[in-house]
Amino acid sequence: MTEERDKLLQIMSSLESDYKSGKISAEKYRYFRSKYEDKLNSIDAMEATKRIRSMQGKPSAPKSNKKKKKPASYKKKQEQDLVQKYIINPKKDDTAYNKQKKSSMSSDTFKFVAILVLVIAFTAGVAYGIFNLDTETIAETNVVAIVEDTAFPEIVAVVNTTNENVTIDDDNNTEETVETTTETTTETTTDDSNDDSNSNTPSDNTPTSTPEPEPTPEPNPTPSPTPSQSSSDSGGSSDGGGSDEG
Amino acid sequence: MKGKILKGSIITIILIAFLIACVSAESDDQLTIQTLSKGGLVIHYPSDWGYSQATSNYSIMSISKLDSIDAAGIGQVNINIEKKPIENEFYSFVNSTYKSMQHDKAFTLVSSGESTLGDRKSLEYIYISNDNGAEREHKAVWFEKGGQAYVLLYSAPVDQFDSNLYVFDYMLSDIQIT
Repeated sequence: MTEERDKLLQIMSSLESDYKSGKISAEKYRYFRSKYEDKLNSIDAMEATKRIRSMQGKPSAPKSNKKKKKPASYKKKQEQDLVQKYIINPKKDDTAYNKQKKSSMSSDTFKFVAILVLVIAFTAGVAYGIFNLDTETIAETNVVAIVEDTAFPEIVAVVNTTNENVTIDDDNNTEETVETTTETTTETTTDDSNDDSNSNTPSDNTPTSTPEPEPTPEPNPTPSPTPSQSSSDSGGSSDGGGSDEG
Repeated sequence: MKGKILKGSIITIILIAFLIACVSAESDDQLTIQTLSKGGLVIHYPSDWGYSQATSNYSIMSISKLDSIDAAGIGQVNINIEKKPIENEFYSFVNSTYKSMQHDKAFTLVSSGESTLGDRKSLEYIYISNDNGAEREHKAVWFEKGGQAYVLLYSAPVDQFDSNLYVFDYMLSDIQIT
């Protein structure tokens, strides 16, 4: 590379001497000079590229065959980029080059954006999950009320047996009527043991599901003076609490 | 560059969270279907009903309508699911309950009949109970499973019985017995 450069410099010096001696015209001199200068510049650029590559730790010449297979245009473009970046000041004239640089994205930025997208997606997913999580089925033990209704209620069977004590005097006139009522209350909870006894449904109000209670005699608070006749009737009832004689 | 992206992403995250919160808050106002699974039964009910604790020893699970709960915390419109072992025959076991009810002035049997619950035969009873003047209407649906009598009991004050019956009917149509 340096040999070519030296040769070019020699040619350029001889060209200049020829021009000074008047061997060549001014036009030819300018033409050849510009041509040789271009070549010299290109050689300088090549050397600069090599130096930059060595500074970046990259090999000056491609090693693998794959790299050799890369198109020459790509290589040229890379070299031009490097020349533009380090030799020609890009801030002054090359606005198009600056725009191109801005539009491209470095790998770090791409990674950062990718991570950012993942974080946003994760946050959105977590937020959606939190706000839409169906906690009602999980929190079954959160009792909101007490339920007292049951399909197995305590059945209260009421037996009304009313006795009317009628006192008749000697003239067969009714003098006083005393009604005695015995209310027998039996609480039963529906049980399997009642199945057989409940198979017959009575037509009246006499329960068959519960054992027939024996009436308990109670002292009569309003005793009849001389009860000579007693009759049983189910027509009336009262809570008077009389004695049960029947 | 990175600082701008970071700021932008934080704003985006906040915006997304805000939007999701708004959407979910809006959806909270709407009724959703809840699921309750216990004792081999799976029921579905609307979110204006809540899980309740029944005082009955035979209860598997119970739910109450939220706006029917009184100051003492007792549900007035309830669905209670109970089960009880059967020693004899299922039909006589169920009938005995209501036959004995006929002799109690506090209960009035309204109707009874047979129906189906899924692929099972069931017995249906509607009756009214009177507890110190407070009349409550009940609809009980009985079915047998594994030697046990299961009963789904819907209870409500008489004036609220019909208006909330659709929830019980929906539950019956949708119940899963495993």
